[in-house]
Amino acid sequence: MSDVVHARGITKRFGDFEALRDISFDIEAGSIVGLIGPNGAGKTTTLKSLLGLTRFDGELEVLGMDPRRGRHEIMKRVCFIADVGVLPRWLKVSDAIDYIGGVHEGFDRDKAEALLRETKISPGQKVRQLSKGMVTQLHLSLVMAIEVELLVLDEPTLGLDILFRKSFYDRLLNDYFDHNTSIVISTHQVEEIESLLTHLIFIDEGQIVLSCSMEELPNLYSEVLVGPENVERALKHSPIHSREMLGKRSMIFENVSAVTLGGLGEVHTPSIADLFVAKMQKG
Amino acid sequence: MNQFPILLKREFWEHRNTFIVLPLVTAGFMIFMMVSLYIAVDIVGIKAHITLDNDESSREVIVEGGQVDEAFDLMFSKLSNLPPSEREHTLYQILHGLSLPLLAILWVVVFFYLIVSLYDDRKDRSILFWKSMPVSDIKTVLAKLVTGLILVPAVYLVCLASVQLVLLIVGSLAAIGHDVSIWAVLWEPSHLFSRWLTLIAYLLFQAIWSLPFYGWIILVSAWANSVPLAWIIGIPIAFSVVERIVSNKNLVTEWFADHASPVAIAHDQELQITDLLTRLIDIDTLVGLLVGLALIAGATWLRGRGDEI
Repeated sequence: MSDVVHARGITKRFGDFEALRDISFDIEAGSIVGLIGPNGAGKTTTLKSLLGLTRFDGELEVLGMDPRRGRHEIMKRVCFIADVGVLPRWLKVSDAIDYIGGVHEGFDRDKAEALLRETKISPGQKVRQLSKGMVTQLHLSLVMAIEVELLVLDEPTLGLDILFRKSFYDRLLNDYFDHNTSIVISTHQVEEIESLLTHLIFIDEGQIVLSCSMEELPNLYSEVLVGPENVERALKHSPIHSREMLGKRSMIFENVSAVTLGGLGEVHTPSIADLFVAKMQKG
Repeated sequence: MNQFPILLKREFWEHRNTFIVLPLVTAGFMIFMMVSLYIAVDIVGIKAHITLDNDESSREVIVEGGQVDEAFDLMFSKLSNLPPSEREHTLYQILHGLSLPLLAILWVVVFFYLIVSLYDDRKDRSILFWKSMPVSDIKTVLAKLVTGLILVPAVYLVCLASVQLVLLIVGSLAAIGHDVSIWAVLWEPSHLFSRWLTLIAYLLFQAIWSLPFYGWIILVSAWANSVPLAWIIGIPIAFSVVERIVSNKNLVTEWFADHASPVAIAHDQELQITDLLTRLIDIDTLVGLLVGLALIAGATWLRGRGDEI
């Protein structure tokens, strides 16, 4: 399958500060990629680069096009939701539908209206009258009615309560994702998207610290609950992370086979959240 | 897919108050004043104080209840006794004077609209939404210029034409029962349609003539990260000081100021379409046009790089 994104050596500087340091990654068609990192890691800059919304150095192809040339061409096939509240406050819901219908060939007006009927948003309301959560619902409903090949979500649920967050991802997965569309989601709330993802990219201080598919993950990383008697032996395999847990030690190992670790304790695949903490604290 | 109509509509959604409501309210207020004055004087017959002017003398007539006919008689007989060219000029001054408030408001509205046109959506971050749509930067910039330089003036023009029309209708009603030909004294010498066409031509000419000025505003709007108005005014002032020091003259500054002034407002002479044609083919206009286009190209380039601020 072809890649929808092909990035090599992307570098972005703001003055002396390097927001992205020579990052490279690919996004396969039909995948759901989690771009995960702490605040200020470079997530937004990476996504904006993909969309032609910021300048950068390096080689980047999105759907075979260079986003630095012809952002509007890419936007015919890519949708983008930046974190909550980028819809202008003066815009009326029905006007938003008219607008997208008037500029976007892939927009299905009936679908958007049907999606909005499922919410409490009415067509006559202005964005300023909607709560934060409703604005996100509105934006998602509009975007879900656009047929595109790549959907980019930058912290789409930041600042929303848990009910909105959950229904956001439920709608995204159940009503939208159909394997013809690839999705990139950036977040630092790791737990909520864990079950959605097919691929994982960890980014920290402008560098990619991990990039793999969810299928590869169990082969690459193991978490073992080591009893006190085995701690010495376990440390020889240089765990990337170790913490006290219920009188035992929880250790995460990178590229150490499950057979080797079997003698130390119960082996399982670490949660993304634990792995995230392990990778971020390393070094 | 022709995106342009909806891009223009979008501008009217955002600026409905200054593009639609303000001219309607202004025109409505002027019409209301004219009609209620007519009703008060001619129908109700309240006490009015009318001053009549012409070249030689000025006469004041105090009108009370039953005397109102006398005053109108005097007014219309004066108007019909004027030589045709003076009558035309008198009516022109009245009608043009009536259009000045709306023309002045239009100038201010377009000025402030262009200042925020490429700035506000960077400030409120909605640029991330607009730029997520498949609309090119050049179309975005052109939609804003077409809105500000053609569509908004058209709305104001319709409003001021309505005000002029109502004045003539009220004048005609007042003339009923007086010994004057309404057509010969009021309508024909007003040349309403040709005056309107001239004004349309002036407003279109303004778009070309002032393109360096408008281009400058929209460039700063796309570039400034704070207080665009201060940059728009401050940089030319700073430039004029530097120019004065370096060359002891202010040629460039004066040229720019000339192109920034509204062409249809400040006038001792009547607006003439022939004047316009001479100015249109003038080299100064052409230079201005080129400078304006260069500034617009710059604004488009900056818009392409523009990000939330």
